Amino acid sequence: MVKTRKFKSPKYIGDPVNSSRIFNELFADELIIVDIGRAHRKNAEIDYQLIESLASECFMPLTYGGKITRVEEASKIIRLGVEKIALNSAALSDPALISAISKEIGSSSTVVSVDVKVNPITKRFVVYQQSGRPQAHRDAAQWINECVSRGAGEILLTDVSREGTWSGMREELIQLARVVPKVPVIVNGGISSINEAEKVLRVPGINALGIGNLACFQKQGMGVLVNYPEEFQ
Amino acid sequence: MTVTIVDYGVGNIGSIVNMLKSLGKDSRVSNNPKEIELAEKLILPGVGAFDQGVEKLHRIPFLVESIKNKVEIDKKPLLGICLGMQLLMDKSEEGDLPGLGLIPGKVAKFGMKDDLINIHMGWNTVNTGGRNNKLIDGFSEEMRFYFVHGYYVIPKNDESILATTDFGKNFCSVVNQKNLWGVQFHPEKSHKFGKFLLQNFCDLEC
Repeated sequence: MVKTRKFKSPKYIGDPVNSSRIFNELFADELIIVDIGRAHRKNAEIDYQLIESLASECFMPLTYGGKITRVEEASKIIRLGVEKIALNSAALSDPALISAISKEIGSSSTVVSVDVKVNPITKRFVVYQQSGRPQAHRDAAQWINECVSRGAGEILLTDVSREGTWSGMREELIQLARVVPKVPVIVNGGISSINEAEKVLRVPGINALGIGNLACFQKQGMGVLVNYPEEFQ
Repeated sequence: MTVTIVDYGVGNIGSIVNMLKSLGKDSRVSNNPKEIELAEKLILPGVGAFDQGVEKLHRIPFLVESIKNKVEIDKKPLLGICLGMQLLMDKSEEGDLPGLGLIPGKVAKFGMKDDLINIHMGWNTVNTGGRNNKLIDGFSEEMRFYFVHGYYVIPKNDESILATTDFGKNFCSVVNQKNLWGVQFHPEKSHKFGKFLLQNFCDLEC
């Protein structure tokens, strides 16, 4: 398991199965596991065995993402006891995959992960592909709407330039999340403290937040401690 | 005391086994009617479509009979989870096949105004409304569990409704008839709340 900064420089955190057990002890409501390693290996297989162990070790719902490109892969993962699958690059290359997968496993189990960056000229969010490396410059709002109309039941929206930086979540990201019709959006990227997390969750229309650094490190600049910030209401 | 989890090929039971293990409880996974006959307590899990569940149950010779004998004659406790709870009823709007008919009632579809959100998926609270409930009484906080379903049970007898949950309307989330229990949510995906419930189920008299 690794933690990145702006989707680069992965830093080793720990073993995924052990880390999941820790999140169990700390009563995390939901866990999202993304296999980013696979993006660098051309024909690498999805690690079904690892997914199966994670599914049986986690006492909370699990979402799995990582180079899913076929309906059969999505179905197989769900049958292993995972609640949802997340698509990213494959959906950008072939948006029809979203429809095909959501028809098979249901919209509520189909998450599309959308990584975004601000276009410095237009100031609008655009989509980044391949784990944040510049590939496409699609308007983020348009892409998100297309995903929803094709059957995505949830959107994981990550601000690549804030991810892993502790520098705070961009206000514009929050506003982008609020205009997505009908489906829940998990805003992710930059949360610097529990106070900030609390503030963001109070914004009307925001009902979910992703935390990476806050769960992995004791504090900015400190070492690894896979933990869960103390509960707050 | 060993809990026997009926494995009829529907859904992943790893989390149930592991949660019981974390409570220090022994469990056995089985689809063998002879082993079911020797069980002290049963858990009937389940995920997916109603008819598929019914077919898979009946596909194993004598499995349904052994379950019915265990609960109706031996009167041992049985906990149905999600589809497992729904299969205890007479029938479902989701399919054409009959359920086990152990709890009078049927299974209905959520008919939400907005067609896109007909699946109840996520964490939600469970309200006993003061009804006595050996399964979830005594927890220090308001109980919440993880749900994922598009259909819900409507027991014929109101007394069977032990707890309700709000999703558009108040639907029955915990059902109980003598030694039969059913929960619409997934205790095995509801961390501390699920553990509390499974602990209570294990503590029920056999």
